[in-house]
Amino acid sequence: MSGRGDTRLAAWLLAPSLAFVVVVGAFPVLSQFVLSLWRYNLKFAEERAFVGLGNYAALVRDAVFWRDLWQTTWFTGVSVSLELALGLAAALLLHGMRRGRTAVTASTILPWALPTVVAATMWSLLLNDRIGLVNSVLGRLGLMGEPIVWLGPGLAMVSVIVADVWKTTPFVAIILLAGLKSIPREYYEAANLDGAGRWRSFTGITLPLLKPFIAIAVLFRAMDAFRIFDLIWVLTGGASGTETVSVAIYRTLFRYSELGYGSAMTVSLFFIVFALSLLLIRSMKVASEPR
Amino acid sequence: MTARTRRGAWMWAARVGLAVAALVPFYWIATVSLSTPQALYKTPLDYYPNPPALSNFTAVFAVSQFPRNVLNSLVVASLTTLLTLAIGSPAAYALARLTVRRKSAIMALFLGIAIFPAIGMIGPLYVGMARLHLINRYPALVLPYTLLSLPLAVWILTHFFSTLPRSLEDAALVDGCTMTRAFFRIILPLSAPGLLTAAILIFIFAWNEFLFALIMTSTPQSRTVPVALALFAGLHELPWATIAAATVVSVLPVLALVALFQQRIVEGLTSGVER
Repeated sequence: MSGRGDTRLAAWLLAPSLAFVVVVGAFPVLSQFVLSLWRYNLKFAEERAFVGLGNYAALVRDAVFWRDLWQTTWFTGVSVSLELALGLAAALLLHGMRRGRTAVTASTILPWALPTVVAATMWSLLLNDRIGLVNSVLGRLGLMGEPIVWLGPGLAMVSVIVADVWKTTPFVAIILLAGLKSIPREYYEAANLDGAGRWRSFTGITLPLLKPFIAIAVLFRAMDAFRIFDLIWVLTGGASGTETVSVAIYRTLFRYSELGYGSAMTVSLFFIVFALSLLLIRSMKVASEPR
Repeated sequence: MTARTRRGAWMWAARVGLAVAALVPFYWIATVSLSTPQALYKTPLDYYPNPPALSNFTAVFAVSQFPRNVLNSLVVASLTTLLTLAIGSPAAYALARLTVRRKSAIMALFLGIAIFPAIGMIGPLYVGMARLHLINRYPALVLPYTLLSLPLAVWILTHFFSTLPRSLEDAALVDGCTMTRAFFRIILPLSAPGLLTAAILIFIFAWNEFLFALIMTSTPQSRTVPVALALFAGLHELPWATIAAATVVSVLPVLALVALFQQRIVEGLTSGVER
């Protein structure tokens, strides 16, 4: 059946997508690589000059960039870990259900489907220091003296992480639920016959067989978390120790009009995310190899 | 109580806790949207609308361009979904079923687009759109959104096409169909569930997108819902109750999609993960 006609049809079917990606996508992506080699501020366009890797050299010495990179790493590490732990718990709870599963699953995935801006607005209402629900409840329980400024210095990163965990844990839970469904019931029955308890079954069967699913969930989440922008832009605007690399790129490109330097930041972020995903894919391969 | 029923009770308590944790922010935004602006500054605060009021919703639609923003979002999300499926589904079919030359290079291209930070594409795309006089118009959002959702659509649909039995095309070929006809007459209609799954995820992505919409639009009439929401407070000095009402309105389409297509969304998210 295959042969030259087959290949030619494939080329025709792929042509629209590839043409689209090249026309709309290649130009912006490549121009970032080119621009990153120039000193180019839009406000002083006539002073632009080719500087080679100069922007990258400046970036390595830029204390603010390192601070933002650290804050992004911290945000990614903490929120993805929490999402994994809570998502696993939620998947286990949903998996064991016979009645009412549809309703609970639907309410669980709802936060994931929301616009991030909407989730951010909801959380800024919950956490508002004067009219927020959280402070009101804490006040009634007598657990709070002065109103807590959740989105101010010190607590802002914690609040951003809470909002992100609320919104994206459902995604992790759904992926892990698919993993749980793929484990044959007989494995547990056999383990049961051998006298293995629940905990032994969980660590001996569930976790090892779930590893590839955990790796995929972590891969997708980590890549998104590392590039996070809108949640932080709406909740804090990047103030109070919550500026991530994407927020810094927005500031550099669109407030300061530093096209060259901002592009170098973008390309660096691309390679960091790329390296991160390779690392995770590798650990995924290791995890799914038979032992 | 035996150990078994006690454990069941704990599990149910945890499940209810899970649903409550997911839903409390929704309850609170609904409460605020139905409260009068003054009621929100009472101490202690009431945890239900007291007195209930619909005035915030009338304010949203009277004061602002919000109905226009909702229309913009609907048009942009629908066009993005149609365009992505139109160019993405033939590509996915080729990748799943036909002999494709330089397949790994093509996959790498899609993967590269998926990994590249979107924020870096905006500047050059803005310049391009400005040159074509498309700023504040639908294509300025539909084209980038299609680019960004194409990798996901191709991923989901490739997985879906590869699960269809190969005997389908063989039978069509025996009957004298060409491969092209077999695709349009047999494969495409059978793929309706897969296409629907991809369509829902693309629609949700386009409905929710914020960053491109923020930069590619500059007039109140051209904004989409997320941008209108984010800029509400600063522009109109609206009270929180009105912002909450606008938020509730923008949640409704997503709520409807989740309620109707919960199963499809779950399938879409887990396609390619299941074996």
